[in-house]
Amino acid sequence: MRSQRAQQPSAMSPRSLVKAIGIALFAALALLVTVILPAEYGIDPLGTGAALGVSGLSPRVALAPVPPPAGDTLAPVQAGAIALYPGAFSYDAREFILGPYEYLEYKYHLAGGAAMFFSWSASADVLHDFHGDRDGAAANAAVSFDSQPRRTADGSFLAPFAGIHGWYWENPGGSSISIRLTTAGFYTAAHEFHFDGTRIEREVRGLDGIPVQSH
Amino acid sequence: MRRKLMQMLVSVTLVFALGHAFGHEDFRVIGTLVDHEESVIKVESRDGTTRSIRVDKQTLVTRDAQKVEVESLQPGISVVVDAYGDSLEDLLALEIRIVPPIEN
Repeated sequence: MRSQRAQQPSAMSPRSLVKAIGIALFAALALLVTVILPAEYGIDPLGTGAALGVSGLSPRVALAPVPPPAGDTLAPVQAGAIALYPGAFSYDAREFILGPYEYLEYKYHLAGGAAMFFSWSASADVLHDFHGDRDGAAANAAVSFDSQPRRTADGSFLAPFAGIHGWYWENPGGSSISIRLTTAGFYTAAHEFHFDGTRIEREVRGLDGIPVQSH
Repeated sequence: MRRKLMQMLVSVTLVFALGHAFGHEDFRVIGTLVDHEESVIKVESRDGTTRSIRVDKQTLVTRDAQKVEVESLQPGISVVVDAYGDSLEDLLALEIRIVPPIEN
């Protein structure tokens, strides 16, 4: 009898199974944070990647999703018809050249309810999509606000949620085109995303950069 | 107990899904096709860089918005490759558009 029991495969109790899964999950998380993220994606929150010498082993062009900026996010406080902000507005003016079939995205970080004015024009027809990515949301969870065919647009925008908001422009043809963009608003950062995966953080200008006319 | 087990399994799935989502991005490679072997194409960009991009059975090859055979990928043609991967060094082509010659 004893030898028979010894030959039977021992069934794992649900408690043991949960414990085993828990340990596996913990080990996977530990490896993810201490080794995989530093080596594969250059994200090293605990400094273990640098300590182990594995930081940035995998060459990358693309970066992790854009984190929300630290500190004030210029969220408005509505007082009747007026919205007051805890800081001054910024402005930005850019010209982009899109080579044949290239695309780029240009987005600003705005708090929920924050306002922005914009004006852009392209030298030829472009595919475009004005959209937003909520803070912390997956990369494919963008919300589109306007994707009508346009070569120019002038307008205002009230961010429906905190996140990065802006334009996707694509050159659909074989000749280079230019796009000029001017904005002003309560944003705190600008991000430029290119078709080849590169990202550039652009500096937005404060009111000090606007010449004052004395009379 | 089943509920706890399900929660654990969902957590494990989420962790792996998160890791997967973190690791892939969309890229576009634009240029001249310089080589096409069975499952890899090589594309020379305008800046002179040559990228190797994997091709599989799901890769869509089009010309003028019409699907064409993968054999249409002959060296010398201009292509716009929308691909997916960890970096420009590790890409899988989702769609390859054959376009008119691109001016330099």
